[in-house]
Amino acid sequence: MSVVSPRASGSSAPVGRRRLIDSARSSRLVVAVATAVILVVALVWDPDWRALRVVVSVLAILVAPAVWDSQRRVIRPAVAVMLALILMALIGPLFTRDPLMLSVGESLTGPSGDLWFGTDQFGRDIFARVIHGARLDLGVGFSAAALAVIVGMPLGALAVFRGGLFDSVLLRISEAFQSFPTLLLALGIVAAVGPSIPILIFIIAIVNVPVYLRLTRSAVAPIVNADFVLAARCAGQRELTILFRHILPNVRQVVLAQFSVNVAWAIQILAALSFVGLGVPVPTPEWGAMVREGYEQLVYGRWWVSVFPGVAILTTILTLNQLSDRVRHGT
Amino acid sequence: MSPGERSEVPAPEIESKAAAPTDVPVLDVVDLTVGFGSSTNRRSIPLQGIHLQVAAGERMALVGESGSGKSLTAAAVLGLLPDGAEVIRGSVRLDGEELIGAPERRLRDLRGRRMAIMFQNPRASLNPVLTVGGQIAEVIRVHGEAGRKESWSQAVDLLAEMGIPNAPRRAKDYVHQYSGGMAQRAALAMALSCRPDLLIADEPTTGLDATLQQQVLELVVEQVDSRDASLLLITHDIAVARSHCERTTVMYAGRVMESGPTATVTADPKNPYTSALLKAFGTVDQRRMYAIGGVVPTLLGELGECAFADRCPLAAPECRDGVPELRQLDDRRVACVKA
Repeated sequence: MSVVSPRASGSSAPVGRRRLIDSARSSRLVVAVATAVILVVALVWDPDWRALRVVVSVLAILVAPAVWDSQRRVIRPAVAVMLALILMALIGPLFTRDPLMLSVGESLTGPSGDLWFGTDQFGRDIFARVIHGARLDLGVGFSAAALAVIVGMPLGALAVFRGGLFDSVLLRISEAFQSFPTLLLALGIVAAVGPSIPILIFIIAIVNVPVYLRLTRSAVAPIVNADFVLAARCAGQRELTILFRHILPNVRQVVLAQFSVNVAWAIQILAALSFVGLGVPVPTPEWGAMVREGYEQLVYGRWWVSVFPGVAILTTILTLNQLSDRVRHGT
Repeated sequence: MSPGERSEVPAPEIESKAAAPTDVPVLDVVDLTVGFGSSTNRRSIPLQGIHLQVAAGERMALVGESGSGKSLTAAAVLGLLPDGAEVIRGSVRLDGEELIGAPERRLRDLRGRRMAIMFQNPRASLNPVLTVGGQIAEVIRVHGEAGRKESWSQAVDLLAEMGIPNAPRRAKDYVHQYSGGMAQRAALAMALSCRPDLLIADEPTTGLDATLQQQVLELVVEQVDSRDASLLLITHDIAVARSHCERTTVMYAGRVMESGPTATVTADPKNPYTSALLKAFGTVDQRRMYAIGGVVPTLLGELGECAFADRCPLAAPECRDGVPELRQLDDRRVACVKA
């Protein structure tokens, strides 16, 4: 039984209390968006994922204060697990074996004190591969979702702002995209262009842009004529300033909630693409691909090959969904 | 920063009462006519030839019932008519500068800096996700050279001037942490942040409870006066006009019915509508509430007669002969053939 009543402390919360979203002021939003842009640009030239590490570090710093719920005086489990996953992706690879190293003698050994998650059919360390896979899956997931937000959010707001033909044309295009099953569309594009990581990010982002476009559009529509927007206009502010400073920050809560669900989707799509062999190239550690490689072994009782990456996918997606719930409820 | 640090511009000397403004009025609205729809498909004409002059340092009340066009007049002055509305004819001058047809850039520059507005619902007119101080500072930055720190401290000073206790701390709060009265004080601070020549207060106290109304109105008047600004107070409460404004303009159905010094207009109304409006407010010893019979005319087209003719106790055939002109009558102007 907790001694401190959460209600009592909640109602008299100090003014500067930190909450996941309240603390993320618009300046931080700008930082997050800017880093996401840098990431996408850098990815094209930077196959070593250095940019990714920078971006993910920044993101981790941004959400770090949110681990502690000062109102209820508890740790937020979803935020903590997410941070752990991010850190795992960031610095985990420094402490593992080479995920690509083949060792035929040790093929398909079960989990042991030495090899925690066992080895796969080529004798590769599954633990190392799961850790390294986090980098890829989280990286692709976050950057694809970020790219989709960067494109979809302003477009959705502009659609309301401009209205008329601009609005209808945008909506028809997004409907055209949405009328395809997401996975099938991704499959088709990958089959046509060939799999590579930037292309995967691009595709996953593309199929998610309509989601943000519609979401932002519906969130902006009721406030586009709000009194405070009129007040800003009466104070002589420029239209673009009004859009970015006064309107978009008001919808960021819904968009952020969607964002974390979206990262989960992106990872799912990537895993699914890898599962059918259209994801990342073969030796690269990626969770979805690892599940596929391992599922033939399941019948022989070698469960560890696909269960561990599967658990990693599950944990990540559950955590992100949980996180999105928290964002939506503002806790 | 103290209020004295702001450069005190010597105001043109106009001792409000009855003095016919000889120099250029701060706001000069002449024959302003606004319609909805296009010229080929006119849906309604809610403002039909508005005349309105506000002299420097003067407090003008714009009185009328709902739908008489008070707020639309304010919107037209600011150049922020709602979608579908357009100015058909007429002119709006701010310090002699024509605003109708002025480029959007120029209007944007004037809004907030030379003319500002505060709205009925203060909570809705402040952005819920920006700090109150931040919003005020932003307006200061948009119109001046002040940097981030400078504009912030100016915003804090303004909030303190408006009577917000512990302003340095409260400036960092969001509007949901403010009470209604405080939010309206903050809205006033924002409106006055760039020392406008004209403050339009659109029913600033309607959303507040009765005890606060008086306080906020007094604050508005006091702050406007101390800045030598002019006030255009939009209200449907003629009592508010009587106690806070030197001059009053009575509007009805998109027309100006009577305009002049508040004292003479309310003591001896020359337009039957003004007297009806005054009567409708009633007194304590009245047995029954007085109501004006009939309904407000639809404004689908320009009326060719007095808009009040259908409801007027003094209506005569000549009232229907044309729109009564706004005639000068001693120190006031009346639109009534009978006056």
